[in-house]
Amino acid sequence: MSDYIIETKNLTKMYGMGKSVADLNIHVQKGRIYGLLGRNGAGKTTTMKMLLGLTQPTTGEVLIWEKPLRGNERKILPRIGSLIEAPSFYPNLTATENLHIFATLRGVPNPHAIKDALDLVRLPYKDKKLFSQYSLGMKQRLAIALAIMHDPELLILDEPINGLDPIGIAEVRSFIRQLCDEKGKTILISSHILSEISLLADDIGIIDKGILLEEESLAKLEQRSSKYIHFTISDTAQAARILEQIFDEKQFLIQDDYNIRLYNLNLSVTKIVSVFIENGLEVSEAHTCGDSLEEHFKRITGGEGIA
Amino acid sequence: MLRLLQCEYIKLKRSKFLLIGILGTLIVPLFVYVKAIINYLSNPEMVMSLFSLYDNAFMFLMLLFAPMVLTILYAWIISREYTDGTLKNIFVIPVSQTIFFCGKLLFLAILTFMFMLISWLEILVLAFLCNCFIPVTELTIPSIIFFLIKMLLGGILLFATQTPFIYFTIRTRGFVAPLIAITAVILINVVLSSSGVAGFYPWSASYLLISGHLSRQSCPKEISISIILIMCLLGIIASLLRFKKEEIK
Repeated sequence: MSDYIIETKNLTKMYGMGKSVADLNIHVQKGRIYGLLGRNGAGKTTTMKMLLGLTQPTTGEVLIWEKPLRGNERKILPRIGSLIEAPSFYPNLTATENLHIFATLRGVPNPHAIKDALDLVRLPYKDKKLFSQYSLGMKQRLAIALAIMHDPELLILDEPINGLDPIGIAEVRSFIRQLCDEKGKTILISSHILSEISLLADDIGIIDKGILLEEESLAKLEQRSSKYIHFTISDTAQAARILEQIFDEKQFLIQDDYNIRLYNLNLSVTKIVSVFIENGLEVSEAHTCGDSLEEHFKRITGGEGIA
Repeated sequence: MLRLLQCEYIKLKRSKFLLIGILGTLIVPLFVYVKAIINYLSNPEMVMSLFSLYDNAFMFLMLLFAPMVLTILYAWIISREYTDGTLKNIFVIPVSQTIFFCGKLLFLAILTFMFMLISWLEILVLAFLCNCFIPVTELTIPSIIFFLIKMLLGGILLFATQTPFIYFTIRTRGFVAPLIAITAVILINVVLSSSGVAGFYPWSASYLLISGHLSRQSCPKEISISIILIMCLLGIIASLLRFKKEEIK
């Protein structure tokens, strides 16, 4: 039995001749926060829309709780809470009235569900302020309230911190973490803000131009992307030969004639330096350093665009 | 279905469009009375009857005013789900698109009946008021009930002839196209309503059926009803099929 709550199989969406999402295979595990990271236009929102059946994939399949979404929407969708793109509500109604509509349509049994949801996102219950008079941050909070109102097992949140002030961001972040840790919810969030994803997600999928470039747990990504031993030496070609022949090591990168990076941190720096010196090399620098996650993401996506 | 209707009702809270629609509905009976009083003042021997008042109201309502007001209102109620972006919240709840669409249709039908009832009531109240100064004949309970039934039947025909504009609204996700279409329909109404072929034109036929003037036409009643019914069904089916194909882009 699979442990994945969401699994996509070669999910593809084409608009005209262009591929918005191409052969996407993501795996969201139960009780974890999965961060879908990508620049604007990378295909995050289209992916989420396909996961909710709001748009149909051109090819491929969405499995949620191991069942194909198509044909099982009535069983699957009630167990999901979602926020897609900008918050959208009836502008002539208050927050409570707006939530009342969706609670009625959903048949939410808990009579306190609306109040509880508004309390959680710190919006007043039965306030007279209309949705059209709300700030962007308040609108975003209301959209989150809508997503959680029916106590779903799975949350799909597209850029949930958009428009929030720093305090609001911290609140929403801790609230999402709390939902996962204390209530065991599975959460898929998307963002183009790396710092947010790295603070929140347990697993990360990096998407660019509709293609999933990497999918890994945050811990492994940090481990893999951040550490290497940097040597500044008199001859990198000879250093490479020593690493290969004496240490049987191939995980290194020659940067130029004098700089080389070794990615296997299990080797002793002192021992390597002494072997270099024994072989007539001059070692002027040897230290452990790190690529930040940001540098790693920029490198694999090939440029800017992730804040 | 009751839940859907309740939600549609909540959505209209504080909405200026509904208020404008109701105010618009009040205009036709007022206009009918102003016209009748002017006629009476110029010819005091003329008899003002409940029949002539309702007959005039039917003409202005069914041929000109109600199709325009209802198209605008229907188009607004449907298109706002697109313009406010609320469909993405609706499509992820366990209510099928068909049921949601049917709920919307039923609500629009109820609104139509409400407008017709308001018009019926206004004419009646004004008739009683008018009767204090100028005698209004046929002001009897059977006549009042007779015209109430006619007004409700008029509501059914108005709703039936609105379904193509519902399709235009869903197809274009706005109310410009249906507004242009209804303007053209009304212009043709003006040209055709007194001609011999009006019974074949669904929007004129609705008025002729309700007013009882269809008997003066060459078109048999059954043909007119069939044309309206077919158009109504085609409008609903096309709208539903289109709505079910909606994707949130």
